Amino acid sequence: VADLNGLRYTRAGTVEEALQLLERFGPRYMPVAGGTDLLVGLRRGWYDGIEGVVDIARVDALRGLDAQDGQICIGSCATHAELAVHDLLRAEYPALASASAAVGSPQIRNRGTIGGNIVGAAPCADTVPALLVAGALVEVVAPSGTRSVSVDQFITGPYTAALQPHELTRAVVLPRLKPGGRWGYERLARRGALDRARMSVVALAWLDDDGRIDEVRIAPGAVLPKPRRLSEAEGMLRGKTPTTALLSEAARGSAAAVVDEAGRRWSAPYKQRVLATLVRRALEQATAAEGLPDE
Amino acid sequence: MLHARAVYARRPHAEIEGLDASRALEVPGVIAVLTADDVPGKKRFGLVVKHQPVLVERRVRFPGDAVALVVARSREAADRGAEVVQVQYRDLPVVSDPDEALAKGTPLLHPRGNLAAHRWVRKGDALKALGDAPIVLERTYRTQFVEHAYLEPEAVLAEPLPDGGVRVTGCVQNTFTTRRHLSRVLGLPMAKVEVTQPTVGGSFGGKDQVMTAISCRAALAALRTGRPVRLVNTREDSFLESYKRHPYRMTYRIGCARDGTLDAVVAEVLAEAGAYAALTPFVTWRSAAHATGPYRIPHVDVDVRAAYTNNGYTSAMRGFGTPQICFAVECLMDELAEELGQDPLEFRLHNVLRTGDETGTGQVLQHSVSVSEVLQKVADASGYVEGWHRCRRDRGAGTVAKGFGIACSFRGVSFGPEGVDAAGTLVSVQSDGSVVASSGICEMGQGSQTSMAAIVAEVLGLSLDRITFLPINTMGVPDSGPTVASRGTFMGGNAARKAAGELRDRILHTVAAERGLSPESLDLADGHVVTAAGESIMSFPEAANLCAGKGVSLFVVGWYKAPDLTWDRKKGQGQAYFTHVYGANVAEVEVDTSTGYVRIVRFFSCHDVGRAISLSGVHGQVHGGVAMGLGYALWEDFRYHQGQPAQTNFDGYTIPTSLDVPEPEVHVVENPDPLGPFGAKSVGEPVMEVAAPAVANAIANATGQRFYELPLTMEQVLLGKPLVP
Repeated sequence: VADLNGLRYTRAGTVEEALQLLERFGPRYMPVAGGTDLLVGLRRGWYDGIEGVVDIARVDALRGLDAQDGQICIGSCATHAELAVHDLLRAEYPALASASAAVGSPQIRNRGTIGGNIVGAAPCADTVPALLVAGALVEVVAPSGTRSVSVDQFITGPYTAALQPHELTRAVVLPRLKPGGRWGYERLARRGALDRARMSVVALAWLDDDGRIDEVRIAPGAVLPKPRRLSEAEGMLRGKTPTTALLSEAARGSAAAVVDEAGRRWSAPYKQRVLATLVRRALEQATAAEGLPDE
Repeated sequence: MLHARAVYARRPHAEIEGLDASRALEVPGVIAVLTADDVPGKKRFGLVVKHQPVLVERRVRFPGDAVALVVARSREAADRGAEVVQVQYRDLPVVSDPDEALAKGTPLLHPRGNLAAHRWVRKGDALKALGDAPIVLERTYRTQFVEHAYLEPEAVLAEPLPDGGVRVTGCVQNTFTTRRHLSRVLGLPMAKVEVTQPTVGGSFGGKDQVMTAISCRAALAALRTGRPVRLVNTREDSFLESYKRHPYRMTYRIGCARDGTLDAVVAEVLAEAGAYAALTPFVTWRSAAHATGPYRIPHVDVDVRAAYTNNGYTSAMRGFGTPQICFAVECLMDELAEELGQDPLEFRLHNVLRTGDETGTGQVLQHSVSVSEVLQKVADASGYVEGWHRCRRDRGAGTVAKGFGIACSFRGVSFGPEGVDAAGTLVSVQSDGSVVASSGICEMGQGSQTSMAAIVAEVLGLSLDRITFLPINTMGVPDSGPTVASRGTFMGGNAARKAAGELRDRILHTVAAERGLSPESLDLADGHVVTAAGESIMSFPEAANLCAGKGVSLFVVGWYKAPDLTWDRKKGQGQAYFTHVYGANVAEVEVDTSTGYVRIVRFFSCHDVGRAISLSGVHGQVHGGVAMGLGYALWEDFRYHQGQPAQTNFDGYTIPTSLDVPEPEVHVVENPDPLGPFGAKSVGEPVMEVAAPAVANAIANATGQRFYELPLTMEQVLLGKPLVP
């Protein structure tokens, strides 16, 4: 047992050991991987009542990325830096690789993990929109067994996730996607690095042989207290031929709905306009309708 | 060694009704809790008005006021102790707006009222001239609080000395100012107070008053406990306690003839001083003296006022009251040009000051006034004129709008008439010909020691590696005033040149006497004493050794005093500065017209530095000044809500990263100044002051929209007005 800024520190070697330690210590301990949220939060007094941490970053079973039967299983302790450059992700889930590459700075990407990104559940968590669009499942382990839950069910609100103190996120599983999909990704931040996303949008679309939208998935980031896909726009676009006017209309409608849902605060006039732009741009990329003039 | 941590009031305006340190003293490791009662000498300090408390006696005026100091065996114990010092406060009404501060009936923060300063410049009859002018524009501009964001937060080590004195080692920008205040606060003669600088992690004008406060607290603890005390602020403490750049509101009315000749300006400026005066009276004076920009304007009426509030406090920061003014004036010039259908360069060149012209303060400029030269050069280098016309034509096509913006300034070198302006540099040649130098001018990363060493090396005919420069220590060098106002190279360099010149004379006389030659026939070059024909008489080390053997002292103090200036306070006219520098910037931007995101594509900077003593140093100053200026333009915005700082660390306070700042293209112009060492003047501040207006003008060129408030956030650029919580 060592000391980490006043907290007791224990390192687990295996998932079983981590679960045992968490069960033994109870809710006054929490798991830590990269620590990029934890160390900042400690300084801010966000973790009053926490006495110690169980370091899971070196548990082999929680690390790396495994592809089988077209399904990709990302260990919860895989770092943003690993995901940003992973060839398979870049080919199959390019928005997830790009979102991982956009997190913080090289130092934060080297430490921060995908598990931490979703457990932390910040509304601006960069990987979440891509995971929603991919239909990712979060695999949670407890001494009693394993459960799988979708990302939008796992994140229950700002900075809160459906995870018990004795549980661990083991992995994020990306299901196989039907072929032929195209991705779009837009991210707006105030500066080129080390900045939270002001807003982001991930879109994924499949067109049929006639160029109509067969299926489309859209998820915004950093705008909603609890993440969700833009199902109203998705429904409106399905079966239609993408045009600038159509994509703009869908984008404007969903942006207004999102801003209403988030609550009309001081930033609403900006958010609504710009979110509509980002949704439209992401859709243009995903439907190969790029290069059309902005309205 | 002990560790100290301040107990901050963390409330904007209150009276202390009681303070109980007993719980803190029970924390294991805590040695002492000091309050204002423990201060042996004067309890308050301040360069102009001595009203800022080392530790608050009774009245809290901003959340960063310290009410007590916990001294402990470890940093952790000091932190824990600071958390449990119990203070009872009676909160007072918070004054958080400068207009409100000056209104009748507002509570007074200081006995003499809430007006911290009022400076003016008057010339001709500006109101009448405005009334007669065929073209008049009125515009109001606003700027924000800015944090210096130095890499190293405030840090000092204070050591009690055996003779009852104290030594303070810390990142103090102005060692002599700090020493003077330490002496008063501790009740010690200056000769028992030693202030030294280690390598300083950035200052930008920021390590002045706040470092005096920190130094006084640490020294007090060291003398009280008889042990060395370390006091290092966290970044959160630094954001809370350190002073910021003044926010300004500037209303300009400017009139010109139909051909574009400027005729009159009336400017009403209100600055926010925050809780204490600090250098506000000087900052506002510099603003007033520069309020007309580098232009010929015969009728001038400028008023700069500053108001006390409970929002932090403001003082020196790179630019010192001019970045605000330059933003207003240079945006205004573009708008006037637009009004007249001229291009902004043409309009400026028609109106800029030239040698022999009179400034707004009535000073006739006799030196080489090169504002037209730097403007033309930066415009040519950047393709400004063609680019500006092209971007204006292409406006509205596509989602990425491109723009070019230009801005220029004149800047008075050194203090101006309100301070004694003199500095000393010591140079000694050792018997082996190596050289030791030291100066009362500080080094904080700006390269003043490199410049001074280069001047010594030049005079003595030596290579730079022969010079060792000592860190500043107030015990060993003459009080040379603060190292501010871009005066380091000019003042310290002139003193270095005098010292080295005296050494040169002594060496040449000694060698001449030894060899039966006339000293006038000899020179120092390439590490040798040489004849007029360039023949070596002896090496420099041999000459130095000869002097040592003859008992000739090769230890010289060079002292330089700047020419006297005059200022008629009542009339608001006078000789403001003994010389000026001139600079111009061009920014090329791309604006995403659907998000308001601005990307700086290229940046061009041209400055007349008189003479570049260290060319890499000049480039370094330009690079840093551009980065800081772009931060001011687009990102940085320190906010207070009812006196409480809204940001606590760099996650909330956005400064640009290396990805946001292009490498600037630097153009150096050299018109040697008759007063400067080898003609050198300065460059530390001018780059920064004209970065934001260049960006604002470029965004206007791209979008056709003008913006009046810094920073130019994405929200403001998209919506046309600032959007704030």
